[in-house]
Amino acid sequence: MRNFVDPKIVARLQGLALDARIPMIGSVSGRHRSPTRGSSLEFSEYRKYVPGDDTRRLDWRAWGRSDRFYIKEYEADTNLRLCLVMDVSGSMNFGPDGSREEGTTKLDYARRIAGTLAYLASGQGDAVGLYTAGKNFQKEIRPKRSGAHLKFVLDEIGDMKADGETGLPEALHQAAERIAQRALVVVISDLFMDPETLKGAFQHLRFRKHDVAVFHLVEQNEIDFEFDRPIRFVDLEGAGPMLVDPTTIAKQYRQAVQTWLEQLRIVFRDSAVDYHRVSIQENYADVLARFLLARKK
Amino acid sequence: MTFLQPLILFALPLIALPILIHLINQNRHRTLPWAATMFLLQAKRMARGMARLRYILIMMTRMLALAGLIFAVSRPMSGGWLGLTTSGAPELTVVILDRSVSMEEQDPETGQSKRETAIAKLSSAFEDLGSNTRIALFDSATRQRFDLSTPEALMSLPETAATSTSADIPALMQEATEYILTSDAGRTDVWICSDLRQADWNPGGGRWESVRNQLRNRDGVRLYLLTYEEPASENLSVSVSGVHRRETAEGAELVMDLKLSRATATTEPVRVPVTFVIGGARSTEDLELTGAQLVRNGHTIPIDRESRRGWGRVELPRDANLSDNVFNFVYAEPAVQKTVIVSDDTKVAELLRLAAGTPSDRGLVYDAQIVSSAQTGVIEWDSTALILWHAPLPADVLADQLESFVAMGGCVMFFPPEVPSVTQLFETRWGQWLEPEDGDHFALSRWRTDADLLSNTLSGKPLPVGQLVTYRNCEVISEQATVLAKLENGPPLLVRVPTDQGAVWFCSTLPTTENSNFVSNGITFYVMIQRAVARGAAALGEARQYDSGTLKASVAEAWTPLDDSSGTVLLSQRTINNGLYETPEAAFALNRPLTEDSVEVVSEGTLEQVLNGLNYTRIDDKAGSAMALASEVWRTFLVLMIAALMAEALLSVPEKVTRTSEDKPTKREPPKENTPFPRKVSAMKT
Repeated sequence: MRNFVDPKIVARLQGLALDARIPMIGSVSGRHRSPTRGSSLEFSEYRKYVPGDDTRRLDWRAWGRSDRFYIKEYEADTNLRLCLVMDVSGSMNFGPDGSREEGTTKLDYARRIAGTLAYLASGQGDAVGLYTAGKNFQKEIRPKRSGAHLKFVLDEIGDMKADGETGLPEALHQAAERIAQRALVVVISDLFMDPETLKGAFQHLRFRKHDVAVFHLVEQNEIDFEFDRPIRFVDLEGAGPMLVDPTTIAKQYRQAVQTWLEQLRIVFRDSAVDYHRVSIQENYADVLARFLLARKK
Repeated sequence: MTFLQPLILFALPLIALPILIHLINQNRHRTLPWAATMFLLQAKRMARGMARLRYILIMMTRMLALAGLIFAVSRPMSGGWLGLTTSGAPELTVVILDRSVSMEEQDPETGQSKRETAIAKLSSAFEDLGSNTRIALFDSATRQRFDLSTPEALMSLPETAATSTSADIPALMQEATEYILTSDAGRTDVWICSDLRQADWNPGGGRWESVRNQLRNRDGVRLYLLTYEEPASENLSVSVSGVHRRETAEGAELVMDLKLSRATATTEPVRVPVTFVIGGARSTEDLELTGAQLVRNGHTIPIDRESRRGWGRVELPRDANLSDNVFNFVYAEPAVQKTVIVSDDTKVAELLRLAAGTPSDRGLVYDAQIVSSAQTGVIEWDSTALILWHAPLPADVLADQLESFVAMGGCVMFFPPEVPSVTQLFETRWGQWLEPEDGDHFALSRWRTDADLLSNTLSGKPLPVGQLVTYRNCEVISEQATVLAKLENGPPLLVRVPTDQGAVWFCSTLPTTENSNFVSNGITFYVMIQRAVARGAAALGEARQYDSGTLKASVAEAWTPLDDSSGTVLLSQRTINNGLYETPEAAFALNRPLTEDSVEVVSEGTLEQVLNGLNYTRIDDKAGSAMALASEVWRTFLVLMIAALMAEALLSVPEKVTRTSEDKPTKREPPKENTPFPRKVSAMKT
């Protein structure tokens, strides 16, 4: 197990299953609802017998009562495809108070969340895939269920580097096209881009009937902007440095941030995205617990 | 607006300090990797409007506060409403007016002298005082106090008109101080109008200490120094000395030592037409002045052989100061330069006789007579110019005779007896004999070079006074005496006691080799004695020269003017102005004291020492200046500074950050890997 996956936290979170909010179309039987009828124990509906139906599924008692043939149908339980979409743009290298120390950045935080979710999903028999979104759609690991695949996914999570400009909207569009069947798409990003751009990408995912969840990682000072001396801000995504006296623009900065957050909220509400804003100073175990509890039916 | 501390205005560039600090701060920035650059760009675009204006306003208020502070510290003076906002009317206003000759220097454009400028400004400034303020004028020429009914009286009183006198500022200050202390007035403003000439201020005099001590303990007294220290650049002055008649083969001639001086030290040659007026007959001679001074000793002017007594004057063309362009003189048969030496010590008496009886001017007759202290009855007081007294100070009748002798214009120089007594004469007595602690000698530390017996020669060169040393000195105990020469770590060598007429000196050592090196370095001793003789002789004979302001006004009542200009002078003002007069017994020439030709002024540091501990304000002015006399307005600038600081504080108040519940900052702590499960989750699990 990698250092970004804490076995104790995984053990404790295993009591909370990772559920999909919409029926999934899986390849094998699992613990998630499916849009198709199947052979589970849960009764779904009766329908009239048509030639060619399996006679073993005839409800003889219904025939005895009504002198008609009915087929008894049951819900199908299937497995879930968990597609982790991770933003690996340069801005994910930002840590508390601008620190880029290893283990403290947004990317490290994203690793913990992604790794733990992958482990939990794999544990309950679901397939896990990984998509990284840098300037381009950098890496794609299609969802699979095997333990070896989980190891492969975790290795990739551990090895990923954040660099360059973000390409999250393009990556989400591509993911929406490439993920063939319904899946739980978990996006982990700081979302530093125009909400209107994101809106199209998330609506595309929803159009493809994916269950979409977003972990929006923020560092608290990015919101509060509490500085008192001039600072030379160096953009982590490669733009030129900017010398700023924070006292002169603090109000405008906060105003811009609030507008952006509000626009994001509206985008995710309209797109029915399961949105979670997470401060990277927060304990990720609490964050995941909240996330899993909220998805309970 | 003027400033009392204008040098502080050089600090005005400090106003740019906020900008400088801003720039330094910008350069001292730290570098921070930043992810949310998109918001910085947006904020910068948004901040171009009001926020930028606010920032500029903050910067301006800071600069304004600094400017206010600098202006307040530089102590601005302003007239009009700005000045009136910060000052009230005093209960008593004392004006000490320097009416010395140097105050008559004029502005070439307006023709207004320093004295006239000062009077006009004071008169104008006092108009607003109201009837509750008393105004007392202390005049430097007469040293009398005049209570003014209105400020306008300053302009019209003869006691504020021009004179040919010098000023004794410390004496005036002393009298003004006594008046202030006895008047029991509340807030008192003392205005001193002067050109700060060193000779008039005598900063080394002991009377300043008494003034300081008395005024320090008096609340509510504020001194205003209205100063005119800048000398007129193009001013020439003329003086003559040693005027006497001499028979020649062709007839007779007047012999005199002529001295031309100019205020500015320059070597540029200038031709000066000097007019000699002898008994009304005028003749002009061009003299070339190349340095600061031109001294022509033994200048001769032919006169009639029959003319045994007469008058004359030397005139210069009109320049910045008219009062020092004329020097009067009278001539007659010279009096015998008679000296009486009273001593019981034959060695000392002989040395004194040699110094007094050796002629320094071959045209004059010198006589030196030695008498013992027991034979003073033989002294012919009326024909004696100088008495050198080396004996115990007399009392009773002999003391009265000496005082009368001095009152008639005679001169006395006292030398210490071997056994000093406690007898006091001229409010002075001898103390104990002192010897240097190291057993070597006393050396001269300083002496007056501008006036009196040890002053520089007419050519401006100093006497070799510094070479004098003494081995024994007797203390001179006097409260009023002026020190003319001071020994290092010892008592004064020579002091002069103030007298209305004549002169009284106390020399604290003897010329013998056991007591001093006066004999081996004889020049100083000889010149000192000869000058004393000449001064005493000036009061004898039929031609008498006086410095204006040294005679009582009543003395001149019987005088008859010798020329037209003297005839225009008021009777009460004769002794304080230039003039030529006569009586059946003698002719009199009155002139300015030559100390007035010295342009040396009291330096700022010296002035601070002189007025140390006193609440004083210095206002520098110029002759003919139209600037209104004003009050200090530093409080206004202080208020401005405070207002600017308050505005800066208001503008700098950080705006309240409003956060929605979602935005509330979470407790910042490093992520914990082994954080316990939330209680809610744990409960579900169980």
